[in-house]
Amino acid sequence: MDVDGAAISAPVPLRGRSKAIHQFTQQTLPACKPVLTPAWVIGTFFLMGVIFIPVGLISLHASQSVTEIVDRYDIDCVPDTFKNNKVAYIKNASTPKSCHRYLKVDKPMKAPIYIYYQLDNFYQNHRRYVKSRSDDQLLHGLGYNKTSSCEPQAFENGLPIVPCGLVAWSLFNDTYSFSRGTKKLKIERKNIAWKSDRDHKFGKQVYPFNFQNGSFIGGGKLDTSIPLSDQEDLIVWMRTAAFPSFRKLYGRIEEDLEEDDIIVVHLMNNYNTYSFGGTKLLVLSTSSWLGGKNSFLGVAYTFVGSCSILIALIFLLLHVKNPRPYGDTTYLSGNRKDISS
Amino acid sequence: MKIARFETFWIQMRKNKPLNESRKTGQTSGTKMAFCSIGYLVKQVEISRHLFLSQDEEALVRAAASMHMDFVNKNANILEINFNGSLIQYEVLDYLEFTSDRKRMSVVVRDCSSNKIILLSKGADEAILPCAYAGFQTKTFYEAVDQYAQMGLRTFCLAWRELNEVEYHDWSLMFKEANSTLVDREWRVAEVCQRLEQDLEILGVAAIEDRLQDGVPEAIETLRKAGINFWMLTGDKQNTAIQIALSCNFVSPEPKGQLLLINGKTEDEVCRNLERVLLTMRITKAEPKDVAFVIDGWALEIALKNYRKAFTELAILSRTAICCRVTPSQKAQLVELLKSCDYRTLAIGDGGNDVRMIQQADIGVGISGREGLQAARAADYSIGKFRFLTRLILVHGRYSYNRTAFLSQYSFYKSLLICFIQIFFSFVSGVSGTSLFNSVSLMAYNVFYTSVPVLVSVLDKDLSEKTVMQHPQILFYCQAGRLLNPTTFAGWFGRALFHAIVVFAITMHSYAFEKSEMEEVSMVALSGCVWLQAFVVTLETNSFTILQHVAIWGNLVVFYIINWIVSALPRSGMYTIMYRLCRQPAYWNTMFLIVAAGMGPVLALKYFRYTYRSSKINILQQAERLGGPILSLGNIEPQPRTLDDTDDRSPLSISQSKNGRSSVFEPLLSDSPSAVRRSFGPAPMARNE
Repeated sequence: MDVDGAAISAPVPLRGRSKAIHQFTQQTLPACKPVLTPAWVIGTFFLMGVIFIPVGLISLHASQSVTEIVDRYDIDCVPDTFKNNKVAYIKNASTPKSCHRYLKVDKPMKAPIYIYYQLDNFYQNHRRYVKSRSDDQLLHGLGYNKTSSCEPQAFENGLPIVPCGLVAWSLFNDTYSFSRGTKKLKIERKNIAWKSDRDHKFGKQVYPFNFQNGSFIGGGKLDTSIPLSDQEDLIVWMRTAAFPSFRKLYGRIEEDLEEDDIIVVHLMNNYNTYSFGGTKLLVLSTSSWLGGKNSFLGVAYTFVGSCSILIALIFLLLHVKNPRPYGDTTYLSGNRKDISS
Repeated sequence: MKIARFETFWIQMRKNKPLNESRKTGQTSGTKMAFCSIGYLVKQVEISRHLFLSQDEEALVRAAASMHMDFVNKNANILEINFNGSLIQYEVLDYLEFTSDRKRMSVVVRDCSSNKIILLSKGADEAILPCAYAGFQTKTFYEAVDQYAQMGLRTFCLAWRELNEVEYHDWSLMFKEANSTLVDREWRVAEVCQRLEQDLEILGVAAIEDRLQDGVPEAIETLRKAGINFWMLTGDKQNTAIQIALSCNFVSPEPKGQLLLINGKTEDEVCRNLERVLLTMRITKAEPKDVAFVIDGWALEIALKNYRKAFTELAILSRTAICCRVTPSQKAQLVELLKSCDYRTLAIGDGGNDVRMIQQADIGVGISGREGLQAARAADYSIGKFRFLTRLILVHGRYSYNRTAFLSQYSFYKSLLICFIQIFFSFVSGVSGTSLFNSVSLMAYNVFYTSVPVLVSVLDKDLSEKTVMQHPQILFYCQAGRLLNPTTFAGWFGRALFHAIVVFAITMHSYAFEKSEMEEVSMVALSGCVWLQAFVVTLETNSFTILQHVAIWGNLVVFYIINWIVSALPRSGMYTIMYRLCRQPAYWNTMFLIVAAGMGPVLALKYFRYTYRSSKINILQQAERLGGPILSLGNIEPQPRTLDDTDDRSPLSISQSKNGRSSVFEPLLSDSPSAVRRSFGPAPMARNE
């Protein structure tokens, strides 16, 4: 009650819990009241710089150590006669789709080398696309029939589709095989999907049914004798990407590639990205502890670290040139006028 | 507020002089007795009717008791009074109750021994004295009243009259009829009462000293320093009110202060007075002189009715005012007038006649005490003593403002942060409206992740209570709305935008290509937001108790625990996601990058303002925490006529209302006085014209 809270501290000394509760209800808990002193702030910025710049450099180095071969093939794989009408080419089932690409290895690449396909301008994160799937059907198969979210790819010819929905319907179906010289490179196509997906998201007893049987063919077809949990391409594809430009794992090469090797890629250019202006790229990449080749983190760390050091220096300079004794009212905004006048 | 802790008002009755007066007019000990019994009777009215004891009555009863008249008993309508050892019985026949219009009350009793019927009246001098029988010399009474008023005492007159049976019988019928009318009952009753209350024989004048509570002058002084203006609204006579105002430092005596009187019974007089006072006010505006005006109830009535504009200007110009002889409805009108001038008003009072004013004001404060609980019950805040008002406003009011300002703006910030990220994401998802975050995260973000850390800001204190009480000027920041205004809001808005850009850009680039799996990206962005908000709360907290640490850092830990639990459920969309992320060095790198990039500029800006563009709050913080000497703050901001304050003093109560105008914003990057002046300069001037 008293003006300065003296009355609060004066009466009956409390102990332990009741004291803590009393302090809490009276808002007199002991508190740490930090002050933004120059030493503290400048120190923090320096420390930040000192930590961030090395981390940035290490990250950059990790990114540099990754070797990556990127090859865009969607244009070159269209025969010259169809250059002006790529959509007609890709929609025509009778045109030959096979294509050869030659990739030169600039730097030696250590196994495992990951094979990715990259799609650009493909909005796997579109709201209606993302929702057009049924996780329950993927797990339980035909037994689960509440597949309204899959429309318009829920039923075909009156029969349910397994797996239903636009995501599965648009399954990527270009295929790649590689050879070095005359020898074929072995591609490991197993274990490219997450184990958790194979075990818990896609049913072991669920087989594709009535899939890609309609008049509109989206992407690839599925082997009806293999359960969904083993259709790893599908599982990878069903992990939708958050950005319109993404890479998905196709397989791994378990051999080292030497410098100046020429890799021949035999690919089947089946997937239609021409109708919406998308691009298709083939990526061969090694990996580091930070993941693939991505210098962003390294650059950003170095940049932030440098800025921190710069800010620290500026504040240090300000402090040395223009020291402010704390608690001094001389420089109060209200009084500055008095000084100048 | 514990009633037991309140000290009682000190009231004492000056009993000798009124009795002397009555002797002079030829009254005997019989009248003395009658006079004193009024105290009892009136008290009985109060007790039986309202069950509360007014301090006036109590003082009367005490005074009577000191003259050997003790109230003994009450049986039904029979009152027993012990006078010098002999028992006298009165039968109470009628109560003519007090209203603030009549300004008097009466009781009709029958003396059981002599069977005489007596009318006893008590009331304000101007209500009783004109009712004296023709030829009665009232001059001495007027003089006595003035004399008491000069001493700052509250005065009232006592009168009586013998009624004969017939007269009473006739009147009684009319009274009953009037009491049972359905239309205009109050007016009818008053009219009937008027018939009986005439040809009175004046018994004497009584005066009551109304001692101030402890600490009133200090409290007024402190609050004045905090830029609060006071108006005193009281039912007392003008002289009494002025004396009391002087004794509680409310107005300064000459030559430091100057009192301008506005009196007058006619419109012309009031108009002239008003013009004169206004002129003086305008002239002395620049002088450092305490100018206050005093207006009485009658003049106020005229001023409010006919010269409202001039009076409003006067109200804006003056920092102090005394309004005496005002009725409860006038008090409420005055508060309303000040509110309409864009002032923030606080009304404080302890009596039943302050209730309307308390309810009318922006903030009503009731003092609960001997005067009863009516005011306290009607009020927003109830305190035990006037001086607690200082603490209520400076400490609790101020903390409350600071915390509310932070909490509300922070709530906008955290919601905007998520919204901006969603907006940015929509541009990379074909503007289709896909939510980057899953529904569980969106729900939990507002309910858990961002609510707990900010809840403990109820314990945040920017300055210690002691410092605030020593530097009441610091309240200016609250009055001027420095912590919550469009500029500060823009600051938070900008911060939300900046942080959203940081989180989204960093997430998008570090989780590009083969890592761009939807669920993972979503959790990376969400973690970024939660990390950032933990640091934002940390940076905005002024004092860390153990609870703050638990809430802020514990919340971060809980965030991971919740997400690990959800990630362990095979049915959930984010199955295994959080385990996967926490194993990736890239995830942690991204988090630290988001925190550093998001908080670095904020910290730098805050430090710069804290050190090189300090506000008074910062200065006091630094002085208080580094143990340096707390220098005098001097004049905080040019003391503007932003604040007005109404203080109110009604019979035995101190009531007050206080107003602040809030049109001053703190500019985002600087709180230089020029900016301040710019923002509130034009407003008062516009009003002056």
